[in-house]
Amino acid sequence: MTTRIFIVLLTTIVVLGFIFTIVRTSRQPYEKKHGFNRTFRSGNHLQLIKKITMEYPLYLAGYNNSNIYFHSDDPHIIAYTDTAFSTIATISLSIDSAVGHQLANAFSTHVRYPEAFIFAYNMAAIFVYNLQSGRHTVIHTPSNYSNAVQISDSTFILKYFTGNSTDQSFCKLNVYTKQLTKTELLTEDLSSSGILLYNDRNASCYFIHHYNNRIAVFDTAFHAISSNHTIDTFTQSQIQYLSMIKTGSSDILYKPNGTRMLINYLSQLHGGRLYINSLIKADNETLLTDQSETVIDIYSTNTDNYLESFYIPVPHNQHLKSFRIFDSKILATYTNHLALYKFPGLSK
Amino acid sequence: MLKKSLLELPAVLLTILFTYASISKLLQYNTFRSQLDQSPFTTGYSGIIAWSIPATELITTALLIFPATRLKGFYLSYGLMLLFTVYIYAILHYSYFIPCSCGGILSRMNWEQHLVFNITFTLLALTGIFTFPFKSKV
Repeated sequence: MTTRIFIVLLTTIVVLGFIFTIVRTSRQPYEKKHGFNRTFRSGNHLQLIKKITMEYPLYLAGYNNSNIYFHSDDPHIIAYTDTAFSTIATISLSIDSAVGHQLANAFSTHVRYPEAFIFAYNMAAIFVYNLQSGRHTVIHTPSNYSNAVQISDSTFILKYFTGNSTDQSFCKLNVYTKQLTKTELLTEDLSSSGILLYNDRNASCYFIHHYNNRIAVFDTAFHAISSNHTIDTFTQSQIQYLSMIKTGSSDILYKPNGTRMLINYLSQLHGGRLYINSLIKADNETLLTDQSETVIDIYSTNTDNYLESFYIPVPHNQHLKSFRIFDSKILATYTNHLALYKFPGLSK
Repeated sequence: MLKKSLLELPAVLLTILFTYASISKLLQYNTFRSQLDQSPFTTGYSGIIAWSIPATELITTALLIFPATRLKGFYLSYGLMLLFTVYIYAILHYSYFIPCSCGGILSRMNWEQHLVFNITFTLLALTGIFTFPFKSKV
């Protein structure tokens, strides 16, 4: 018995040591100097207004004048609260269990009340639920896709998998007329993932790359407006698409092109400004190792210039899941709670 | 009879699990390697891990099949299942992002379900280790 206990303990120590090593190693590329500095607003920390504990993580899904909507990791559940952040209520969507199972891990929900759009990335579909009537419809997309953004009541722009050597491209889909407009433009470097946003102030789309510092700005006819970049120095895409013909696999595959680092994580457009949660430490920063805060870089959408940065708190053992700025406040969602902070705006 | 069957249950379940897991990884080698590439912790070692994990699983299966080597199979099963369990825990708690499964590489279980599944089989391997009959002294 003693021998068995000894071997089990030894195995446990070896396994824990191995995982500890690879976790520590994975952080090292983020900690070194990257050749850029940030400007921080004075006044330092955001002031917490209210916090609501949740049993599961929520992600911002949309808002209007009276409510803020969230989705969870369960596609059946939509949560909402009023703008005073009084209490959280939920709406249960009647999604077939087989569909719900297929949706798991690869969906997000966008709410433009009274409609909720479930982007079923791996099912080549958008599920449209009317939250008032309970009716729902299925809109088929040209193929599986990785991003979607609503540009009008009826129209979405998708970043979809082409199935050929270009890998991914953008298309415009009217969910009511089913009119589909594909484009051969803007296909450069779309294999790496990112966030697609829509700026209704100037009717333009922003694609913020996750693994390099590029921001592609284009209009709804897919004409490039500008190609900008965030202030970090990661200009190269660090992921490479492997053609299906080459791999012989039915799956869409990628390989890292150098050390693969997530650079720009969450993004949001608000009031003529682009807010980007960057994971890269600037040379004039000293923290991030313990991840007690995460940085948001602010850019002007008019001049495309970097303006300044501020920190959002990230409590111990929590991840920032999403954030939204509205009415001089920031709503942040974490692993198991939501927090509302005062946002004093820019320092200049 | 019933007691004997119950004692053999951990070995049977672990054998089925590792046989399925190793063969599916080898049959979908490119997909498995791509998933390792996408992980924040294994991106630098995906080449060696993509071969060594299914190879170790096959060795474990072989050890579990024969009564003479079954105890060694249980030790290896425990090591592998603990490795998978702690890896998922680390992804959920220490990785800033959780690898996305967009684009077709879709698992049947989400990360939390995987964690529970792995903990169950880790405990099963431990059960196998401590219920495996001791050699009787002559």
